[in-house]
Amino acid sequence: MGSRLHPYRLAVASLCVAVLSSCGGGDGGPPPGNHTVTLAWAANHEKGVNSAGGGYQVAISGQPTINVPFTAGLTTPTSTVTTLWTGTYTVTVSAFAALDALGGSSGSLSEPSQPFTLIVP
Amino acid sequence: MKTPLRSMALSALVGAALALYAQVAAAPFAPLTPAGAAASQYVPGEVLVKFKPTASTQEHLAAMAAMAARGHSVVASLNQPGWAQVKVGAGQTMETALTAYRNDPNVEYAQPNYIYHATAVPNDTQYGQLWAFKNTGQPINPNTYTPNAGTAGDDMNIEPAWGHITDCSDVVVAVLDTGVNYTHQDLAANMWDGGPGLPKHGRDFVDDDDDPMDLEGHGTHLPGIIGAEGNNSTGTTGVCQKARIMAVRVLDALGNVTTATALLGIGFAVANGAKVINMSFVGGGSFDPAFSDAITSAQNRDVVVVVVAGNENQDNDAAGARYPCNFIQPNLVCVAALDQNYALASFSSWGATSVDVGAPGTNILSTWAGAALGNTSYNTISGTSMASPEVAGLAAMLRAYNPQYTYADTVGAIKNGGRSVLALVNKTTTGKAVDVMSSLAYINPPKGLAATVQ
Repeated sequence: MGSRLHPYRLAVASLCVAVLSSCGGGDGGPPPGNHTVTLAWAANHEKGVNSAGGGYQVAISGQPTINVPFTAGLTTPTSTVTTLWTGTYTVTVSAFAALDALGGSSGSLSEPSQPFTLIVP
Repeated sequence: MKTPLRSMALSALVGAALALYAQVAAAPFAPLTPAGAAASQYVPGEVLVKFKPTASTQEHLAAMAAMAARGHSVVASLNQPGWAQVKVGAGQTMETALTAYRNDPNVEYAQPNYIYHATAVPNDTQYGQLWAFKNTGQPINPNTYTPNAGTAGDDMNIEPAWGHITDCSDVVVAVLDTGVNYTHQDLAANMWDGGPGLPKHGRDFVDDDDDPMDLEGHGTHLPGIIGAEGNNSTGTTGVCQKARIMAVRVLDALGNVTTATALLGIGFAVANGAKVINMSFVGGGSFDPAFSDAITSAQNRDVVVVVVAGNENQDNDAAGARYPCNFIQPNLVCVAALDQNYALASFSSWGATSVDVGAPGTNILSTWAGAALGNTSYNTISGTSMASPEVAGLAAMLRAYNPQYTYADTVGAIKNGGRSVLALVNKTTTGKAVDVMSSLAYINPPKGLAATVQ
């Protein structure tokens, strides 16, 4: 089997399993290893998510949480790139903003998105 | 021995910075979240930085050197362990500086220097009677419902929200009712501008003309709840202190409306840019497909529709559907009435699958009557008709605060941002009363997560 990386496009809806098809010529797929994974989601519409102090947190089971903060412009980035070893992961994304429910400064965090299972070959 | 001035300055700077590192403050809600902050405005060209308390002296020096290299300077130490107020260098944005500091391994947090606003209590002369906005347990007189005194805190929690937004005038709210006294002293400034073709702020589908003046009173009471001009030292205030109210007269002198007239009114509102529609009327009987289609049409145009549970003191799920409350479109919010102690009002209908939230609906003071009866009249009345516009006003506020909000975002924030109330459990779909501040801070869960693996 060749060693080159193959792109796999995963369409993920609510609570689904992202299963990668075989990478090579029917020989069972690529060998275990690190893969570059791009995670993307739809932009939230809250002003606070898309301004200073706002952003997203991406939770991948067994991995450090990835922070995607607002930096500049009109919207916070809605994707992140990470490297994952061969395996099965549960992924969710939450949004946060500075404003809290008392009108103060402790911040608010959304419920996580619908989780999905990501299988990295 | 002389100490060079430059060294002295550096020593002082480092000393001040080291003093900042001494302790660790409580973390915000999540470690990876940028420092929690509030308010919607901040000081341009300034950031607040918290340096890690665990860094070594060499790392502290490196952090300070990096700060100086960026052209930044410490403005103040803030008397908070680890925190420094930093002036951003010329030609740099606050956002760029935040990114740089958040990527600095010696920095624990970096955030804007937010500007807070005093909780905004409006100066309207009769504000003390608006228990829905601030319930201190005060008696409401005159009144139309007993009890007329309540429980402090049983209110919409709106005052903190007014510290962030009072102006909803970017969002047109259509009131489909007996018309609106658009010349009322507390409404005139907040009426929708229909342009030369609709100079009287709406349309009358009862008399089929362009003058939706209200001569009954009910239709003027509702926009006062949604958006009576606030903080104008006069009368009352609405949920929105500035608003754009579209008057659509569909109820006749007896308070009746046909399906056909309702469809005309909804169509007019949607076609003329309303993003929130309030309909404080209800009917029983058979499913009304034409009316349902009109709600769907509003949904397709991204319009939130707020309606009443009804005043029949019945279970709308068991005793017979009440429309439009029992329609199931996702852009529809059906509202029950709460009293001053947050009990379900004795007249209010409910429905565990059809009524969504509760809102104050007894002894509600608001604007009143048509121009012929004067432009300074107010009245205190009770009904789910009064609860619905509390929610319509909230919908307008949410959409004004979050200009990208869709109807789904708005309804999600209303329902999920509410406050659990025992009297509404198993009586509504959410078991909640509306809570303005909580809804304003609510964040809908992200959607559309997808992955690409290479």
